[in-house]
Amino acid sequence: MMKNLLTAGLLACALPASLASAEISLNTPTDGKNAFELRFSRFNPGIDDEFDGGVSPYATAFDGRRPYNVELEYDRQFWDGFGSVGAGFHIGYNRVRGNAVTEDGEESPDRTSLTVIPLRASAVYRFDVLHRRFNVPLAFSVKAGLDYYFWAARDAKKNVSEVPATEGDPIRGSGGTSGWHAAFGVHLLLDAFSPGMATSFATNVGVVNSYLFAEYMLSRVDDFGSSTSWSLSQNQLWIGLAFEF
Amino acid sequence: MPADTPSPMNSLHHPPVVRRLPSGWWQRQLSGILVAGFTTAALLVASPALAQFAVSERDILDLDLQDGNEDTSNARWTVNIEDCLTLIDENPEVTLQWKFNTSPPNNTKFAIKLQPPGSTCSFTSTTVDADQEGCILLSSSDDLNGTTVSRTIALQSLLGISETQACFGNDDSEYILGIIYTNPSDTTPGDDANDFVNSQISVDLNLSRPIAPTLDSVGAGENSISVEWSLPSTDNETDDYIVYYSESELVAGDFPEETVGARAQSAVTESVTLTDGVQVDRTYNVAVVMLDSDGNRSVLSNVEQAVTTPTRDFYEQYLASGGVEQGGLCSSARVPDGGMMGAAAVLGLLWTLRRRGARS
Repeated sequence: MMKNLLTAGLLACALPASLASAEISLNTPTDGKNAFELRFSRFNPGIDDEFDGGVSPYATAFDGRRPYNVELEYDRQFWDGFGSVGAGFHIGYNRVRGNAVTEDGEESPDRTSLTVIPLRASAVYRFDVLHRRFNVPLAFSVKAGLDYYFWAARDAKKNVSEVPATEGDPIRGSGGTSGWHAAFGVHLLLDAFSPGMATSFATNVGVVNSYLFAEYMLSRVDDFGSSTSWSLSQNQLWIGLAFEF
Repeated sequence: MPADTPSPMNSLHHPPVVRRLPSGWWQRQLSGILVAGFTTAALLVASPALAQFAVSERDILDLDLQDGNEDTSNARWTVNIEDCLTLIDENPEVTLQWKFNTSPPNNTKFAIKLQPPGSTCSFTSTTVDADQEGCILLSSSDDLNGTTVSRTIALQSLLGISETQACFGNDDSEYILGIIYTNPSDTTPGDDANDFVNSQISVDLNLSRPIAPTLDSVGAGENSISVEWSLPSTDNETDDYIVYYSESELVAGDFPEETVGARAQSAVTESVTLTDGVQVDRTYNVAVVMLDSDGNRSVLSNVEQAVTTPTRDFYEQYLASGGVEQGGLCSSARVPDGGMMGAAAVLGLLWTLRRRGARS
């Protein structure tokens, strides 16, 4: 009888202790070598910038529309010390639709669109020391890298636009434009708000850290200032979720 | 050896046990089985006569003129204008059918009557009296044989339609077909209102058109025409429309069924953009009609013209505005030194980080 009571007492003491240690481990940063981000922003390229305000074909066709665009990012960390350093690869999708115009400049019922698929490669520095050493659920990131945007402009029949050239083949409204970007982000560690869910997420899915983040990105996509390229440059505020695994 | 002395053989092998049943046991069991059997049989025989005999299904077979206008729960069928025109062209025969849930009792009388609009039929007798003007007796018999009663009839004659013009007559009327048969639960057969019961099928002839919309505006592009319209009343049965457009003439007020050669596009809002078959530098006549819940179309609305003219899509407008981007995946442009240096710096940074990562 005494032996049973002793066993029960030990269990009663050990169980909260084990739970407490689990709680501590939740707040202990766990290294994730990979990260995946799902991010959203608005699409508003600076195509009209080359006209210095005289005409604005982009605004005329798309009437100030700023569609949501979505991007996926995969990061791989190479160095882990005072923060971490890695490389990131992004792919996104944007499509803005509007109306063609008549030769008099009046809006036409004909539809037209511009589709842009941005690809990016970034160097990523993630400053997560506050989180690791002081249990503050914040991390910061800095990114810089190269961009290449595939794009296609389409007419009312959803064909890629073709414009007769003065000589030779017509000019097709599709191509690619290169450039660069730089970004600064603030990441809020969500694990701190729901340790139990974080543990479950880590155990069952393998995601060791989850973040809600906001990132301001400066992108200059104009073939590095080429005089024969348009500008798909924009300054964007991204909101998204990041998962380290 | 006495007969009741066990033999040595019997002492080794147990004799079969024979239990005698009490006297009269078999007789009682047999009489019980017979009573139960006769009772069941009597119930089975008597059941059709006990109000269980009734119509279980009413149907018009082969009346497949238009989807969605058959209401089987109420045995009600609607014939709209388009169906009516099909009647004129094809004069289909239809089969009226009533099914009973069980075989009819002996000497069950029945009659099938048609009550056209404006006439009077009594559905509580198997005869047509003189005061039932217009009521048509299609069939009658003193012996309903079998569980199904079917009669085939030409729908044209049923509805009294013989020419196309009748389909454009704005008629809205109801034809009732009924089978009248001996009431199995009437305990006092005789000449009273309970002698017969009936089961009816309704055919609604709906040839009335909804009100036509008003075409408010059309706009033309290079390969599309935008159309907007409105209705005088907001109290609409449906929000279904058809827009007609054609290079041929369309006339306001014409019947859409007679509008030949025009393209048609359905719409569920009061605007639509037409693209199918629209070509540049053409003149199109455009009109719209509304559909009611039975699928009848209004007459054509007022007709507007749309002239398609060349337009500029975004990229055409960009180039026309003096834009420099010529497309293509590789830029052959002169790249400023600063831009190239920046690109080289980013690539160098990535390469350095990768090497450090590999060492660690």
